[in-house]
Amino acid sequence: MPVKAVCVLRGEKIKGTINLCQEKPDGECCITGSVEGLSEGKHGFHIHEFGDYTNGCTSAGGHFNPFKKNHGGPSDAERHVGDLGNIEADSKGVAKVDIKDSLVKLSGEHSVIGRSIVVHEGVDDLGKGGHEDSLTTGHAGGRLGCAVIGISK
Amino acid sequence: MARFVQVLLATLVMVFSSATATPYSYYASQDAVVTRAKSILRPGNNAAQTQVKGTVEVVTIGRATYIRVHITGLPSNSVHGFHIHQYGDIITTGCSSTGGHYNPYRQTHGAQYDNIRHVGDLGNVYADKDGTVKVVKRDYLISLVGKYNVLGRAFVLHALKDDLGRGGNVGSRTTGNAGGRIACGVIVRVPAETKS
Repeated sequence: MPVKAVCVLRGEKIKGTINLCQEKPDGECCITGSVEGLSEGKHGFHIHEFGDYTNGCTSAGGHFNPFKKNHGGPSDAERHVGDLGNIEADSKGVAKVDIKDSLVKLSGEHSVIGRSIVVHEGVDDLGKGGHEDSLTTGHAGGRLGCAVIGISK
Repeated sequence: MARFVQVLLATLVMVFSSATATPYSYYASQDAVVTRAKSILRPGNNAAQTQVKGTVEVVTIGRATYIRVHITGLPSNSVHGFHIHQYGDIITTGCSSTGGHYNPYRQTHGAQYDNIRHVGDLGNVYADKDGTVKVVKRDYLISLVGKYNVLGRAFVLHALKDDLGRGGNVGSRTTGNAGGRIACGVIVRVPAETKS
């Protein structure tokens, strides 16, 4: 049965809607939509472990990483499930999102439903930046906005 | 059997005690799989109800799910339908974007303790004279695990009393005639050892 989910971002500066879909339990997950209000350039874009915002986006925890891997880029073998790389905003501050990912799931044991998407201030170095936090967070800096991944129509 | 009863009683005591957060290690030691979730209820579209807010903590322990509800800012001694709705979107069009009651088995609306009910049917919650709801509901149909788990769906608090499907009209058998949506929140995953 296809599963669809939605993530509506409403930060202080940014807003956007991301739709997620998965046709088959072992199939790819589509992640599409747009985010506006960004500074021009790349911004880290990840699925974080929790959907909790009791203390703002910090409560979302770290990148969703059920297999205990190092941080990486979306096409790397060594990556967190939640590692979706960067989204890139144009001169108007709008980033289009059109991702297909084979690790992100909307059903089963490692489902991302009830977790959250976080958009970061800085660029995700995909684990290759050589910074102290490159292999954990991609050195992507603070959290501009976050939103829960909920079931949708 | 004695051990089972002992474990059950101990678990109930832990779940119902609101003084401290229960350490995850406690449940782990009881060989039961525990899954936790939370929902922060925010006011619906009705501006008159903006003072309503609440927190719902959900814990699934084996087959049982405990739903601890704490809502403030309601009218004194009021009664409100309280359900899990289908979709986990409370922003696009406010609480109305959560869709209808979560009803994967396509049943008619009922009370929590009816055999024929929606999975999301939790009946009513009762506010005290200060407009506060504090209750723990135990349910065996709602779960945070399995095919029909409620993660990523939403709690909705209604303006009126749910007639539990006994109102004798079409609305009663679908929504319980519980009226508008005064607060709602997505059911999200939280850390295993969360502070309440």
